Amino acid sequence: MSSTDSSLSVRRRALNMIWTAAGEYGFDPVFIAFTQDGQPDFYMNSIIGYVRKWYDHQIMKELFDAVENSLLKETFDGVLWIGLENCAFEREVRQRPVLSELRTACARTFFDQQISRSRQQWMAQNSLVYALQAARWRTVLGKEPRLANPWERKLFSELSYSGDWDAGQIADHTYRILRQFFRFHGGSAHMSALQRLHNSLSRLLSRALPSRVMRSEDLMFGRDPAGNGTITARKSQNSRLISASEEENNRIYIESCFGLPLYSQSENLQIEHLLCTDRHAGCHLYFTAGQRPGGQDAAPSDPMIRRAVQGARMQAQRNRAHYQERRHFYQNSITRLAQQIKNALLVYPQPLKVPSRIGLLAPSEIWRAVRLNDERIFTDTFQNEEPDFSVDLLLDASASRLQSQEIIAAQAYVIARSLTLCQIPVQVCSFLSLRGYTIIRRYCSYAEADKQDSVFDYFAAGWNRDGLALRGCGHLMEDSPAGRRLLILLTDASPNDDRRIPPNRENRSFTGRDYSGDAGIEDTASEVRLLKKNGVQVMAVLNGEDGSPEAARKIYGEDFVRIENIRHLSDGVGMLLQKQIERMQGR
Amino acid sequence: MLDFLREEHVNEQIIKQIESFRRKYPSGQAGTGSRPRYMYYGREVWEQAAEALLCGENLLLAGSKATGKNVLAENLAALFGRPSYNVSFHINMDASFMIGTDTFRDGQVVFRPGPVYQCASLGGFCILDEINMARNEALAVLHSVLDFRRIISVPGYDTLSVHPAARFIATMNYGYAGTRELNEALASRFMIIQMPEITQENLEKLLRREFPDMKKDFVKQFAALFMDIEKKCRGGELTPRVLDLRGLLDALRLMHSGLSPLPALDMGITNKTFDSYEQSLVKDIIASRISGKTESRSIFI
Ligand SMILES: Nc1ncnc2c1ncn2[C@@H]1O[C@H](COP(=O)(O)OP(=O)(O)OP(=O)(O)O)[C@@H](O)[C@H]1O
Ligand SMILES: [Mg+2]
Repeated sequence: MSSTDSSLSVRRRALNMIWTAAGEYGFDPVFIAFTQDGQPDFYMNSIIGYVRKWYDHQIMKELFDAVENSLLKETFDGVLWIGLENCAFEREVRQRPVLSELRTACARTFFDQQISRSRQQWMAQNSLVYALQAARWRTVLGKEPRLANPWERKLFSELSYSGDWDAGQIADHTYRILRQFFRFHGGSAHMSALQRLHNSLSRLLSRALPSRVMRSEDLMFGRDPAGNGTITARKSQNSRLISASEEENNRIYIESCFGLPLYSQSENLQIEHLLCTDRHAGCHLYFTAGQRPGGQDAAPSDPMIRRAVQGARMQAQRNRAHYQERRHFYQNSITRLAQQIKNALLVYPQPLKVPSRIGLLAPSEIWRAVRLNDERIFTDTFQNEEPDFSVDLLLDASASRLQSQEIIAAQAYVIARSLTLCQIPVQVCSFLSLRGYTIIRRYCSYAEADKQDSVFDYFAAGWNRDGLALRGCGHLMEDSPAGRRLLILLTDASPNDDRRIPPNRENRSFTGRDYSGDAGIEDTASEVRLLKKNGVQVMAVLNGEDGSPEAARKIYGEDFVRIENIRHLSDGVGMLLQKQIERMQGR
Repeated sequence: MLDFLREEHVNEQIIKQIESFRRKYPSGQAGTGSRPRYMYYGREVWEQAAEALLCGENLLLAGSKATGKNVLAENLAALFGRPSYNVSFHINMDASFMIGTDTFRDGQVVFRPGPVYQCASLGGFCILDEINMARNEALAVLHSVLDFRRIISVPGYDTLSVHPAARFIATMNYGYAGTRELNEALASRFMIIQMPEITQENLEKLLRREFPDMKKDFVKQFAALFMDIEKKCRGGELTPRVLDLRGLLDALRLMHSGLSPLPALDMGITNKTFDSYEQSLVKDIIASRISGKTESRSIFI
């Protein structure tokens, strides 16, 4: 069986679980559930089917639509299904005793399974949903829910939807929860005219062409890395009619969480037009210097955005506290690294050729003497103190780095400071991917050495589409004042994004691939090769246990170091830079 | 037998007519009135079939496998109190087997009657099983038996009039390899009943009757399991290979004698298809009804 066949049949099997449970065929479920290894989630798909079986379709559809059109779709979906699982279970178990056992098994796997990297990222991004899910499964196993925060405890107690409710009660209760806990004002009563139009259109569409809609979605289908005991809205929803308004929602969300854009909309469009192509077609790039809309201190009104902004602020404080506590150590590291860089520059001096009145005759300049009376038609070679290269630091800021945010910020600061002490221009950026956007946050440009301590604003979230980030960073590096450019990534060498690599007929990849595993590594490696071809030297710094050396080798060749212990940072990075400087000299 | 029909709420009018049929044609043989091993469940089919037979018609029961065609045919013979004769059709079946052949006995050539002849002369119920498996030439001799003429002519012997109580009940399968359409001339000589798949309610009755010691909860789950499979076949997600009531009953018998439910169901149902994807769909259905931990002991009291 080819992988396409099997992914189609996996999806078909998942649909069949839903249909079996619903006792009804041919309808197109809005949700479908997969485990983290990409297999259909038996219990949750059955639950989706029971919800279909027991509750009024129209009311449920309106509820799903209202959530779908909200800013916090993923969170609301997660919260809603924690409630729905409860009532559908209570209702169905009356006539299906085996369901209790299946539910317990589902709860056990939730805690037993090995947590994959992409799962970790999902958890980090949906920590609320994850916490509530964990609480629910704990109660299923007869334990305490163990929610620390009273707000979450209260929300959780509201999610015990009763098996005696009908669809209307479920919808009312859900809208009340979303209003009360998330200040959400959607719901059937408040649907905008546009949304209503969309709803009637999509209803029309699915009524007219059910089987065709099915098939085209089948081709787009792939493993959903966010899955695992969670119900994920169908991927196809990405390509729905109204994606424009959703796109707008995403932009607002990103702007509020990460800062105002560096480029105007039309400039950005041009950049995307150039860079978001082939393997990154359909993705977005967003450049920001982290400037908040309405000033640094304005409190966003949306509660989820507020949570995100507060989270970022807390992290910035932790980063700075971490550095302050180990100030002496880090300052030593800076001095040592700067010394090593200087040594490298001395050992391999940069010859600087300047026009001069003495030295080697430069034939191409003779005309100046004749025409302009300029006598500097000779070239003299100076041993220049000022090196002719710039360095870019690019920090992976995806959720897989959550455990080492303080260290990464400190490392970046140490490296940037050392280079500045050697008069090497430095630019520092970080990147992460969210909702199809790869966000590049610039802490300081080449001319902004004074702003270097803003790297302590670093925080991690989301996915990492390394290949696209490299393209974006390459774009920013065009501003370099120097002739030679170096790029250092602080990375774990495991590219992961929830947006797939689109199908490519030339490669006979008709369904596209997940941006993770080998596909992500291959993509990143080829972007690195491209940068090298354009004269950028690329290297990587890996932290401690993070990331596999095999992947790093595939992407960066020999040009990476692994810093097992922060004490070796200076030596490690120093050696890496020496090698590069040596190489520049060799050319 | 009549009591069973009453339990099934078959129209009292029809039951009365059957009673008078039995009075009119009292069975000469012992044992014809007793309850058969299996009972057919399905009130509407009962009524249609009985009504047609009372009107002197022949019946063709058409349907997919294990829809109870043979059970119903046997039941009808018992119900009407007539002896039953079974003719199983296959490609080598010919007229002489059905009607009879010359044979040599005590130094003389004599006619040895076949089942159709016997049935016609004694007023029995003749079950023409899987009639669509037979060649048309073989069936041609039945034409005069089945239509208004109701006669059997055997060359060299007297023509026999079919006994007024005699009936012919044919069965016919859809979907088996080797089955063909019945030719029109023959089809027009029957009243045709499309045999429906058993309903959940009736399947529960059947299971309770077959396995009186099965726990109520399990009767429900196994019946529902069969209905789940039936729906999936109707939805076009499964081929009808795995829709086999006989297979389910066999599996339950295995459980009754101690085999664990899952392997029993695999043998009886899942493995009827050889496609691993289809097997996984069937396994999913089973998992949604029957726990893998269930022991066969716990199914029965
Ligand atoms: N409606 C029904 N009522 C009672 N039993 C049924 C019914 N439908 C199927 N069965 C059961 O299914 C099994 C098969 O029945 P039977 O042999 O009469 O089927 P059939 O239609 O003749 O099958 P085939 O076409 O494969 O010969 C029997 O055990 C019978 O009890
Ligand atoms: Mg049969």
